[in-house]
Amino acid sequence: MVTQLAEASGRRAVIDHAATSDPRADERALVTRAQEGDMAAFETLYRANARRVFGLCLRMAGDAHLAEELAQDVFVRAWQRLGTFRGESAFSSWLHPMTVNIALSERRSRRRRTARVIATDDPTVFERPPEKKGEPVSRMDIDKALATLPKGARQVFVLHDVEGYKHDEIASLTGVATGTSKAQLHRARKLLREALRG
Amino acid sequence: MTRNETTTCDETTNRMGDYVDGVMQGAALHEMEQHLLTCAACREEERELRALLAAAEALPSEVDLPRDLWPGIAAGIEQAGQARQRRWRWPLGLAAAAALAAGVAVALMAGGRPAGPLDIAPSATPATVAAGTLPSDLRDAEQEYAEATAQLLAALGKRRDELSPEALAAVEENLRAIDVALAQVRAALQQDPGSPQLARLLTSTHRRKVQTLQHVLRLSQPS
Repeated sequence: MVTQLAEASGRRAVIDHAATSDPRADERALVTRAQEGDMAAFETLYRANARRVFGLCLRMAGDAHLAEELAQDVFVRAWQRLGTFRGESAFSSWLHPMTVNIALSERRSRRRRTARVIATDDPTVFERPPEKKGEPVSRMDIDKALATLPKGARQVFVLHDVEGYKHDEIASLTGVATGTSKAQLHRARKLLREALRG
Repeated sequence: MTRNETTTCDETTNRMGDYVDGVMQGAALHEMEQHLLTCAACREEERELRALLAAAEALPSEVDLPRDLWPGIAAGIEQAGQARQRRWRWPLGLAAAAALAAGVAVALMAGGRPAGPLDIAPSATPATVAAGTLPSDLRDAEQEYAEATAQLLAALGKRRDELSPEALAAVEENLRAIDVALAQVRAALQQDPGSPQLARLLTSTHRRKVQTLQHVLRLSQPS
């Protein structure tokens, strides 16, 4: 038996795996326990999915503090809607559209947000594996450049070019026309290339 | 560069996205490819855009968090749970009371033989929340409603001869349902005496009781 320990606010959530562990089965067990009110199980789900949720929020928001708030909102809403998760997909797949919707409907005042500047001086917020030789565009550069875009253009670029949504899906999510989504994407790509040229 | 070539480069730049995304077809695709064969500047545009999209596609989906968000999430879940408990559902008794008020009206209008002594237990002396746990304005409001209710019950008692047993029974059941609702709200106020929502619910429930009694009195007046 392999025991996996998850530190949880001074408590330990112990998940026993069979020798041949099935990650999906483990996840389903965690979700079932969380659906029954087990906060420790939900915390484990949070820790397994937080980086991905935060990454999407950060790119959509362009602001690290706002992204933290959005990511928190995602998990609070996920807890509230756990009963709707049927286990037909991975938990991360279930979280993804919820994350997009919350990032798009961000309503809070941007009290800590400066218009075109990343709100953190800590470059490790965009920590990346070492750059491959000959790579023409730095990933850190793209994330920094993304944060400088107008909100609409940034969100369409993230949804289309990073997350792989189609224009009709983006239009449905954002409430804009498909043509507007295309125009925003064109604008985002143009602005990004200008920013990356320096 | 001639005006035609400039125009063509502008058009190429505007449509480069569709070309790189692979959605361009037919004559437009052919023209684009032909132009790129002869225009180094536009080929460079294409290269830049493809590099950007490749880098975007390769962005790692996971980003390290600056801090642990779990304490905020746990607090948010806790708050959401408390909000759900405080969001007091309209006591079931009131929904029944609204339906019963209609039933009382029907019974009264249909007439019928006079009933025996009016057996409506005056719940006009409410079991008040312990002194000091309610704001004084709420206690005053409860007292006023209690007095109004007592007067209406007394008036209704004098009209007992006008009421059929069915109407009496309906009125009594109606008032009992409202009193159950009042007791529920008061119990909730004992837990959370400062809640403005519960205070509003208490006064509106009292108001509903008074309105019901007024309604029954109007209907019981001889025509």
